[in-house]
Amino acid sequence: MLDVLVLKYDFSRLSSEEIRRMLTTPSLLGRDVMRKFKLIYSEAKEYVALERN
Amino acid sequence: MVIALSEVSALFEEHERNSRWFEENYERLVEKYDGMFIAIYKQEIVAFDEDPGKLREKILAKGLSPMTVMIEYASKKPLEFIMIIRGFIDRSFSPPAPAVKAFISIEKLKVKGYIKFLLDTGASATAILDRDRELLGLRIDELEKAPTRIGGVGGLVDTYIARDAEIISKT
Repeated sequence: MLDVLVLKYDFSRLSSEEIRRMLTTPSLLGRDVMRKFKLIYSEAKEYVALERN
Repeated sequence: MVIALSEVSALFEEHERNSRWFEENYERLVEKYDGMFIAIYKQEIVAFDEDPGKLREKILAKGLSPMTVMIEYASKKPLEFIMIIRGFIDRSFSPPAPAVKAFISIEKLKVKGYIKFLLDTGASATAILDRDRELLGLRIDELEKAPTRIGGVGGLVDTYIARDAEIISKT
């Protein structure tokens, strides 16, 4: 179980470009989860993995 | 790359259908594609390969966008000693960004969904942003306000806490 943050932007204070950017941004997996894994990331090998022994 | 919210919603539903189909047909698929990465599109296997990079090439060769295709790994033998959560390189970002797809479930809020997370080593905590908050149907008035607001685009952002979430990704 994990406590996750939920963000709410005030769109009335953002430009239309900023709103568009926000709405296309996915959620974030932070260090609270990733610290339990080894992160393997190779763009050249098209490989992303979180590994845990 | 601009993606309309309606398109994101449709993709989300399609991934859920593919995921259900994979679960329902798991035994048959594992028997046939053991040790392979398989590409599922509209509840059908459209390509398979041992190498995820080659599989991506096959998907592109079929004229399909990798974003619309679900990739799974079929294995008769469960990974017993090392748990590996397979992510992917999201090329809708420039430069490309590492990401992982996962189910999130918050039992007491009756919220459940399949979303994409960017792997963000700069973020101290996992965070649901506006798009996914809307897609998941998370209601702000049901959440606890966080003691501090965090900084984002255009200044400080209202921040809430969803307690006891489960994030489940396929290994």
